[in-house]
Amino acid sequence: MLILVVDDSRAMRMVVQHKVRQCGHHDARFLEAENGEDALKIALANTAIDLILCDWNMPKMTGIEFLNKLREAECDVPFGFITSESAPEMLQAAAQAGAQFLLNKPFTVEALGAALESVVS
Amino acid sequence: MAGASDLAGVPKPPENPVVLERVAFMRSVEMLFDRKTMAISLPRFPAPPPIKGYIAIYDDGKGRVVAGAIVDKFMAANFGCALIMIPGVTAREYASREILPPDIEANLREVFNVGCAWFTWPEQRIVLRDVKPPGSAWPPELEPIFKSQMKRSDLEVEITGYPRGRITLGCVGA
Repeated sequence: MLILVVDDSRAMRMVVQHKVRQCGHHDARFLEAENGEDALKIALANTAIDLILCDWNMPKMTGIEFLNKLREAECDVPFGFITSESAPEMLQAAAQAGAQFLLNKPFTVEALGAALESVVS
Repeated sequence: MAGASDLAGVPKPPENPVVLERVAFMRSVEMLFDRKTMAISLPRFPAPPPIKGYIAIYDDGKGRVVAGAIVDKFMAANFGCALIMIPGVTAREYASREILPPDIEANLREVFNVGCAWFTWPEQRIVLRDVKPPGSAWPPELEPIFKSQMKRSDLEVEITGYPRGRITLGCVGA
């Protein structure tokens, strides 16, 4: 499984990758981006990406802007937000834009595992 | 006594956030670091607590400061190190410095960002606005919040493998 991890915090990108492996996806491979703009370039250039795990608030281009542009480009790769945003309007915007899930930081390995299961299966 | 909104059967959304209670805070830290964490409530310091560490300032996304967190140097170093599994012995060494190395400070900032979850406020946003290093003056918007004894939580926290540190959480009054 190839996963694009998008977060402006390098530490959080590491944490997400570590937790994905803890979920049992030991063979997962990762690409990284630190903002939506870079992530968009990577996502559109790599058709092998199986899943995008993305923060919401980032410089240059936010996670929701990235997702909207991705869907405009007719890229339907599964997409999950991992964010500290939890306001209802954010959840609604994420769902409307075509995100498969929104996981709030901090999150358990079990919660991430269930979210991954829902998109991988 | 029931308020007018209760009588009308339409609960009024809370106007201000609430500091997470101790056990929920511990659980939040455990989830972030994958390490067993203990927190004990401390007797409240004279208000406001002394600033000898880092201060996180939170707003509602519209510019109104609604909450803050103050960590001592141990807690700051622990947060900055535990996020990427740098061991406790290194955290202890960093805590003895005036300020943290830039990469550890960046990690601390991310922990404070995740720390939006240390306050609950249904239907509303809480956003990390800024992080002030040790020696900073009291941010004027934050001082009244931390003078309140009712909306403050002073905790001593032990993350397994790391030295004990202290954190004070506060948010605007009802």
